[in-house]
Amino acid sequence: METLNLFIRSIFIDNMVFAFFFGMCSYIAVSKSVKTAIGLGAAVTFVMVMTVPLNYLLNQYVLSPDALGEGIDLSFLSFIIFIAVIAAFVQLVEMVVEKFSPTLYNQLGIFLPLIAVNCAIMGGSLFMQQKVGESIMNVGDSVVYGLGSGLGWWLAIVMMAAIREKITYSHVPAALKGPGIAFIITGLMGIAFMIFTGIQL
Amino acid sequence: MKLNSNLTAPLGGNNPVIVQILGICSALAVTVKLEPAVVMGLSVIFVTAFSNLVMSLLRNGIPSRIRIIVQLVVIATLVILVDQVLRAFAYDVSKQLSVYVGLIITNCIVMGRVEAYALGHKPWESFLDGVGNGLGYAMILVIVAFFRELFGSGTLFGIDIIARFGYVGNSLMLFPPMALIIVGCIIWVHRSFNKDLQEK
Amino acid sequence: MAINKNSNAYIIMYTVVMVVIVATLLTFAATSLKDRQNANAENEKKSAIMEALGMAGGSMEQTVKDFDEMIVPALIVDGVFTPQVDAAGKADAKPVLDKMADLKGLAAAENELPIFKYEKEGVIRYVIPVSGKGLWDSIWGYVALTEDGNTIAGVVFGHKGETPGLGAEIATEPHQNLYKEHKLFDDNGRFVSVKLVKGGAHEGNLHEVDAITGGTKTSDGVTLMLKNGLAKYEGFLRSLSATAAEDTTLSDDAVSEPVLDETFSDGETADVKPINVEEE
Repeated sequence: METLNLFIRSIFIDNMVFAFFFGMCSYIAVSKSVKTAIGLGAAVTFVMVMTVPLNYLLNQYVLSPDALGEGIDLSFLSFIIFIAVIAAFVQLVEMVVEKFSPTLYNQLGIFLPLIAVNCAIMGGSLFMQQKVGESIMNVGDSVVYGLGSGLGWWLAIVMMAAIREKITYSHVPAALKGPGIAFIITGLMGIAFMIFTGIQL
Repeated sequence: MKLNSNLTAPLGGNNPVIVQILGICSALAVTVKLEPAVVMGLSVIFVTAFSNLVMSLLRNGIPSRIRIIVQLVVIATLVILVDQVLRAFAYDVSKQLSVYVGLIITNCIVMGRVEAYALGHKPWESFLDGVGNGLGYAMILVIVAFFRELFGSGTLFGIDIIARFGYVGNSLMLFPPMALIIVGCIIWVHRSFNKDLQEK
Repeated sequence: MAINKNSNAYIIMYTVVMVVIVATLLTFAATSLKDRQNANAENEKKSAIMEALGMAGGSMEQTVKDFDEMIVPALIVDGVFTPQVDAAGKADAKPVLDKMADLKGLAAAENELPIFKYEKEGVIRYVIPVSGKGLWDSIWGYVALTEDGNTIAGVVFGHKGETPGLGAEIATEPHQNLYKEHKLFDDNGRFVSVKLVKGGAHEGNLHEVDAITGGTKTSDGVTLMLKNGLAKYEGFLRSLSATAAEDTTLSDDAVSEPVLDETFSDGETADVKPINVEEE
């Protein structure tokens, strides 16, 4: 139940975009068509599912105080380790996908370099670190959290792209066209997502 | 004179947040109150300025294949320094900023400026460029935080401004979505004055 | 220079040098700032404890100094109040604060329970840390009890991320003042804790306070936190109330003695209900 709760929460309530503004850069830049949005969302979700548990293991067995031995506290290195894992993983995926599935590479590949600096990924790992011992108790939970956060981001960008495809037919004030209206829509969607507040399973 | 424009351009016509739409991720969550927004702004100025400086100094020796990783390491190192110093000397604020300090690493402004500017320019120019972009970012942060704190809690820097006249804080301003709407409005105003930025 | 910048040897060399420089720099920064950071975290807890006693308000330095002077940090080991002292025999808050280092550890602590005793001019207070879950994230607090182990002298609550204006109200003074003079044990000596009641507490009920309007989940979290957190201390609190009851019956003049400090005048009353220990 706890795990299901974590999953639902990370998608709807603690939504990466609406509650924490994570991954806004690529969110605004790539949400112009539904097709590309789906591609980027998939890539983000995939990378999240892999890097959050990886970083969880590193955090538990290397970084946290006394993990390597009595009195050794490497927690100050967590930022650098997390980002290195993410960057290395993205690079690895890029190479593997390129070698084994050129079709997938053509669909997904262009987004991969964008992902290393997507705050949602790094944010996922940092939040995971905060939640250790509270709602994330084991590797399974961290996978669930990564998946939920990724799906939440995916959902947000696809919805946004769908709205922006429609909005091209509307009369938006010239100065608001593009990013301006995108921000306001995201804000309104965020308010809509607030109805999920307090859902507890 | 070119150096001056490095410093001032990001404040107006080429603002990293509202024109280039970079670095919004970490920008908004810390804007509930002015104090953390200012500290966050200063931290970003420090990181952009020094990562630009360091990368510019290193630009001729970096093997191109590991360029991105080197950038990340330099930026992450600077961010960790900022984080450690904040924890030691500004504990309360560092708790409010929580994970957002760490997210400066993935702040697209930092990476973007290093990649686009510092790798091709001299150290001093790069440094100013970093300061300028950091300032441009901090400016937006402070504007958003100003409105959110004033109307959300009726205070500025925690000092009672309008709440004493019976103003009841509008909690909606404290919720995340309002930050986005305020940025949307800032872009609106900004582009109304800078017609060349408007999208067709 | 005629070095091939893309050769593997150069890249490896470059990486190694970079890692060494970065590692040295960071380790130096982290270790040299470590003490200060830990002190910050400790001071924060100390000042929260003083706040529960209604004695914070001055500068941080002053509060921490007061804490060090007036508070006896202790662990309750198997029901026995055990003051913690360092090698030199001075009061040492560290082992107690360490128990509270993370909230999960505090919730799980069973045999060694952290507690803080305040004693000055005949006034005795006990401060118990509690932790739990609100709507969004963890919540925590400190409950100050009078010497009978039953009456609440003051509370402070903190939270990580409750909804501003709603659940976050638990951390405000008006709400925290509601708890004053409330009791943990009922007239029959049963442990009932204090409950946050939606729609308002019943007039005169010393085990109920008003829940936060629009913050029901957070209020439920506080109710649960108080109940679970304080229940672990039940045995110890009972022993306190037994002593207090004895005092009232044995020496009536002790009751009327107006030794109370100004700060506590509101929480402290002489009509301490004797708790019947044999009842349970």
